[in-house]
Amino acid sequence: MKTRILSTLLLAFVFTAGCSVEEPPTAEKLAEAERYLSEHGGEAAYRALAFDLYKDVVEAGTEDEQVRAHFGLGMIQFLDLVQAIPSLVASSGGAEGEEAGGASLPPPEQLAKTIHVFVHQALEKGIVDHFAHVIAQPDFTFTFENLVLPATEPTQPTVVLSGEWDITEIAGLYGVFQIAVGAVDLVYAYDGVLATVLDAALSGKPVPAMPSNPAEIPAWISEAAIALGLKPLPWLRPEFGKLADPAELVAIRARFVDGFGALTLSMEYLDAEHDDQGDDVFPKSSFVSTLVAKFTQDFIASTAANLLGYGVLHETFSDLKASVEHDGSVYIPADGIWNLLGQAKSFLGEYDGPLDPVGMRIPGLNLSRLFSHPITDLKDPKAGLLPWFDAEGTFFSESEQEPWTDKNGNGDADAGEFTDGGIDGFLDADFDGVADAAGRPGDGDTVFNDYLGLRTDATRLGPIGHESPCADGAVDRPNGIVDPVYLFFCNGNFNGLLVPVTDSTSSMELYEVDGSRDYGNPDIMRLLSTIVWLVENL
Amino acid sequence: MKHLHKLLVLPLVLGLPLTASASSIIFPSTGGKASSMAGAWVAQGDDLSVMDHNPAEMVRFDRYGVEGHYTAYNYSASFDPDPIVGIGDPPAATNTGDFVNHIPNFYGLFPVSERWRIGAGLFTPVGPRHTYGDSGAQRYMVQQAQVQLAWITVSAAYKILDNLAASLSLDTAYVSAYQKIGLGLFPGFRSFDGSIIVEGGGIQIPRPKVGLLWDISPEWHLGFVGAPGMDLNIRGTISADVPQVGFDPETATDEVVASQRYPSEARLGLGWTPGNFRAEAGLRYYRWSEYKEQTINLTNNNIGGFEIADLSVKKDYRDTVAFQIGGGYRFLRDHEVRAGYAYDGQAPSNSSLTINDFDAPKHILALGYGYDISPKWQVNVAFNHSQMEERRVTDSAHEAIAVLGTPPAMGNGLYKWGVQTFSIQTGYWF
Repeated sequence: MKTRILSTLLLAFVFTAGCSVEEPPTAEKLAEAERYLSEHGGEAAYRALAFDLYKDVVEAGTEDEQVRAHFGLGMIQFLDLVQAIPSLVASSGGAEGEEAGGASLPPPEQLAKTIHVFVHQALEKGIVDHFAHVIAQPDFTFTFENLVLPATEPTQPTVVLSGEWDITEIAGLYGVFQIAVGAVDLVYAYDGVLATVLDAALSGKPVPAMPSNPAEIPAWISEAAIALGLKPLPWLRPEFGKLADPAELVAIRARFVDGFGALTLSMEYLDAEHDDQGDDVFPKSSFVSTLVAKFTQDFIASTAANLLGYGVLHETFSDLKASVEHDGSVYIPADGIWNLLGQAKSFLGEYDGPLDPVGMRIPGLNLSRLFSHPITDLKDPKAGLLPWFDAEGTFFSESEQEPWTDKNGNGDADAGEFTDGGIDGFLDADFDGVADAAGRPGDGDTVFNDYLGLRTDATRLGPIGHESPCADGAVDRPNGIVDPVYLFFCNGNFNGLLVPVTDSTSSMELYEVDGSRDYGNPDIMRLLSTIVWLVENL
Repeated sequence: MKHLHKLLVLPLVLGLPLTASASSIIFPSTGGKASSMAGAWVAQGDDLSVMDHNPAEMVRFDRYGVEGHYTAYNYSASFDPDPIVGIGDPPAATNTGDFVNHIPNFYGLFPVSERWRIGAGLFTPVGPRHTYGDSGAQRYMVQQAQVQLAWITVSAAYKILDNLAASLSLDTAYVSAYQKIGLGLFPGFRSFDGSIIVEGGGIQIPRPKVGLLWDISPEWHLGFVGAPGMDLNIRGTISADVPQVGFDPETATDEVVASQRYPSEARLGLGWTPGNFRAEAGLRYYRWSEYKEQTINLTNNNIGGFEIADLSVKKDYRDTVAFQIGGGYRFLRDHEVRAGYAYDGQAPSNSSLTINDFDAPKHILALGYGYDISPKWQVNVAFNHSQMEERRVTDSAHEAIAVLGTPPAMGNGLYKWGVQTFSIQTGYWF
């Protein structure tokens, strides 16, 4: 009898201690998760709690509950990413990890693969796939009572994202991350490119200072690459930059179309909002400026945002989608963006160069060509993406900032070198077209410090053409600008990706495709030289 | 994304409750009788669990005997983290799951001659598995831990004089351990968490144990036992499950040999057995300062394409001395009630504490009852409650395992720990 009592007590002790607690229903879990996210969304610790609850709801909840749970999971991953990446960047400057860890990164190819996986897991599975369930529900909203992301540095402000989130915001994030995944996929589709970028970025080795002489820049590019450990130079490696599998481009193209489509949808939802916007995280009337103000106090960005309405964004996203989706559809930035550039002229000091797209040679983009006529070998000097380079990998270049490009250093203009008619890059100060007491024009000082100007006058700054190495007898036509460095992109329109733009004959828009010619290397060089000119005047 | 950080800082790969063993309640302080006197069983023990406490006491038995013991071990641990900069205030975490461990152990004794006794024992915890939540800050210390153990002791005791005996034992064990620890791609951010799983096992090199028993008088007894430290080694695998970067536990794996030290120990007990009453007071010393590091040596030093150096986790432990006192009173000839109290110190420094590697000064209260059903057959039960002092850690040295970035300090906070055991034993003497 006593033995039996003892056994009963023992069994009761063991079994009651081992009993599991009954699981709460998914509605309770969802409510708890949403409370954590809404009231403490800025704290990773509470998001961690909500994360596991949401996962349970996705597994076992009703259809409506699952949609809300997918939103929660996507937002948690997004917020984790927003908080984690800056912290990581802030903590990983320098090479201290090697001493601290005794662990090292894998070879660049393996690391590139790892990052590619990460992008798909974190962005696609973690955010895009979850939000895909949500944007199918047009009436979905979620209100964050308190969503304040802490500053990553003491000097930085916190980011307040409290308010109502609806399809405008969710579709916007969906689109941004879908495009980001597509962009990484596109780079990764070319062998060795991402690995090379990572190899250089993570080397931690110093790069030699950029030369003041622009003619030395091409050689410096090779020196810098070698200094970063890229030896042999990537573009000399046979396997580098080849399109691994053109069939993959189909899915990438679809991803871009989907992404730009979601961004367009986002703007359409915003346009259709007629309810009180007082509690919206990004109110309709100040959508872009509020969005920018949340993340930066930069004056230029804020000014630009104030000038940019969501209508411009809608047109931009829609046009980009069309350009990716339909062969022959060229993306030319919306007039609103050109107007914005015009406004920006006030920041440019004494800059008197071109600002309009025609003058700058800003191309239109036929994005469909990335997929329908892809470059199959980036390093191919004639059909690739890189400018012409010699057997040592040094980019072939010239400069227009001195009377000649003296490649052999003998002081004469020899075969293969060129002159600019004895007139250097300086403006003729007294406009008399002769060398005077000031010593110019026509009096080079052997220093590459000449004025970046337009070559519009045959007397003072005459046009210069360039013998091109791309084909026998080929000559690049003058591009009307002083090019500090002149490179030779033989595939100057990147298989039709870049399209020349001209003033529109229509009253509906400012610019249109220039169907009379192809975009070419002189256009690229004029664009790059203009950018250098702009930067110098900022 | 500069470097792979801190993947070397793998805590407690063996998963053995080493510090908890200092509390006299896990092993080898087993037995329904011994635990009911708080483990004060070195000088006047009278069951076969003396093979764990002081095998020289085997000389007290003149008959063949077998005993079966069962202990239910109910473990509770909680950790309430302090707020973490940039992360917020994580919730408190407690262990759940199979936290009632079932521990059977068996002994047999054979009196070879008037002076010689030999015996053997088997100590086999079954299913001690602890599961913690995936959301709390403790996930970077432990998510799941399980240890299977078969601890075998073979002892021989020799009666040197009528009142003096000595013993020599060899203890060995097969240890099987499994531990799952959170691996933060960016520690603190749940959606980027993966896990590291370490599992393996191994037979340990036998450890000698020497015991002495001196019956000073019919009522007074002095017992001593000592054993050197030993290295516990496990061979197994380490694997990473981090889908965010393509670490699949099937492929992101390497073979490991994990080692840690089990310390030297010495016990001294003074027993008093006047008539129906008995008592013992004792001291137990563990030389925890031997335990300076855990090492994990990888065969290929590669997990998922990432090169990983051999690992060494430094330990900051101090020697401990425990005080044990217990007594029993026999009544109605066949019945005995027992009680005991023990106090044990804290081995690891506060900064070394984690929820899985926790220790603090302990107060152990014990109660027990025994009934001799017949001269050959006895039954004993015992209940122990061990209350650890709370520990608030503000200078934790614990670092989360991070693939990238520098993890924030996540080991600060309030730790609580407690355990209750219920034991029953029966023995038969032929």
